[in-house]
Amino acid sequence: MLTSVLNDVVEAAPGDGALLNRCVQAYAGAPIFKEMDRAWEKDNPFLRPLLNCDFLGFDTTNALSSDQLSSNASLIANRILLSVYERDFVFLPRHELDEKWENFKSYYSDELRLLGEIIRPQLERFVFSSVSEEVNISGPWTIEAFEAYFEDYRAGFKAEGNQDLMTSITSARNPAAAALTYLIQLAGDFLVESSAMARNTVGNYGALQSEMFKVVIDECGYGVHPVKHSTLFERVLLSRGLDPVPHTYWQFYLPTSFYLNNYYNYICRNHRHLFRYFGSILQVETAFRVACKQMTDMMRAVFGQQAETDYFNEHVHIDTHHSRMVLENVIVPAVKTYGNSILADIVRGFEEAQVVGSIFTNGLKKQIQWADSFFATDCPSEQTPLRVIPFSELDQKRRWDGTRMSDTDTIYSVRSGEFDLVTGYSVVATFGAGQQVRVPAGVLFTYCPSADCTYQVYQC
Amino acid sequence: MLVVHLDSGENFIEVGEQRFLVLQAEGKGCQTISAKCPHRGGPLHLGEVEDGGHFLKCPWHKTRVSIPHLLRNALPTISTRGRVSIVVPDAKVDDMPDVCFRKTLLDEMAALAGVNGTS
Repeated sequence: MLTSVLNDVVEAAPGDGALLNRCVQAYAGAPIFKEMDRAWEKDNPFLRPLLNCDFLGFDTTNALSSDQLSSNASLIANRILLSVYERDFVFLPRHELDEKWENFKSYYSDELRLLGEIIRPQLERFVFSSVSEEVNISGPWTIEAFEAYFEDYRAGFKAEGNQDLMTSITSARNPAAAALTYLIQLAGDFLVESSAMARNTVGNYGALQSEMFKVVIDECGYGVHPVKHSTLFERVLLSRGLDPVPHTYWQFYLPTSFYLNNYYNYICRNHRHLFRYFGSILQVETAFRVACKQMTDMMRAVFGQQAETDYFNEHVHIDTHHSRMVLENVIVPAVKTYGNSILADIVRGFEEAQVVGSIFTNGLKKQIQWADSFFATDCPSEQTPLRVIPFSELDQKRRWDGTRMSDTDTIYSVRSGEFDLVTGYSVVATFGAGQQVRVPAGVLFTYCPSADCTYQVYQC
Repeated sequence: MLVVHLDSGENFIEVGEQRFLVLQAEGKGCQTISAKCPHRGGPLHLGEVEDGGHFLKCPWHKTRVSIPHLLRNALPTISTRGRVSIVVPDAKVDDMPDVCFRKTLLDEMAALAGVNGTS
């Protein structure tokens, strides 16, 4: 099947939605990308379900608007994109490659690499057009104007969006469950931290390259594994009883979390976007320092003063340097060398990073608040769950259909048996006969009905 | 240099003797041009649009000012999700800008930005 599709696409016109769907079906049809009958496979970073039962195919005629980034189409497109981008990275299981050897060979196979490259440009247009359209840059920029703009941003930056998210966790009815949801969403990016940007440290572009490399070696802990940033984040996960293997929780990632991760792969993979990347990394290094202080405070508020926060504390310290290094040693010399014309891309990257960050924050906040609503004790009895448990306590014999995004408000009315609504790793709400639950548009969910469960579905 | 942030709908900036007009068109972003006529400093924002948006006619001496000329000297401007930020090079950080909404030329300004947009 792969070969015949590849033969066809050589002649294909770009933007052909039907062809894209065919390619997606062929790509996602590989055994490593098929839906699983379980939420995860331990210690196997190659198994990544891409589609779900609600996916009826892409219509890429119109790119996703910013308010469609929490849709099921966005979830599928972003899952596929990350699987394509991360083929550039090396993943190995922690133990026992033998039984995963076929998965390993398949993930890095020529067929999937080729097919992935064919579908990537159209999916990138589908996913990232809106952020490009939302940012408009005009006027003749100079480095002095950019430095003035940056200083104004830095001096006034308080990470209000991130603080709002942290407050939604600390003030939740179940702060620990909310915090776990948060950590799992971070894991997709932080466990492969700096891999996307490392693409910009190879090649030969003079002293700028070495300056970028200095940032990356900090991220990699100078070759000392225990202080590599991803290792620090593994410790955060382990401290909360979570699995530190990359993408164990793949099926629980929100589309907006994939989107944030994919954006940096998008602008780093294609070096046409190098200057856009310079702007975006300046914004991230500047903002993340402040956000990490808030994350440390959140972790301590939820899990106590002894909470594992080295990952966040490290960034509070080192990102002060990274922000300065990127501005003084990368951006200023780059403009001096290549002229003001690169500033439009640098400013664009700086602005887009803010938009992408807010999309991540808003998507996650909505998911956390929805999941937390099931801990409310003041709902009518027909809407109050019989119990709320973490996913790990769910009867593992229940049928697993994979997660999806709710595209419309939907009510599930239970007639008999038990209906377990999964909102993520940390919150599973169980409803019984005579009860009903509303799943709003824009949240990730799945449900695991008991064998004797019957229910009706009403779309609002 | 001074960075000025506009609230929704604001389109006119005055910093000391300098006056600027922010042109905005649906989906096109913003451009910030001088509102002072290069002839004798007349108020271009009170003038008239001519030749399909290629000229502004100053109300003082009827001088026709080319829009592309004004755009060449536009200010660095960013517009993202309704937030507009402008860098005014010939102003100091502690200058107090007067920012407001001027209805004058509003429809024509949208047309200008649409025709001449460079975003």
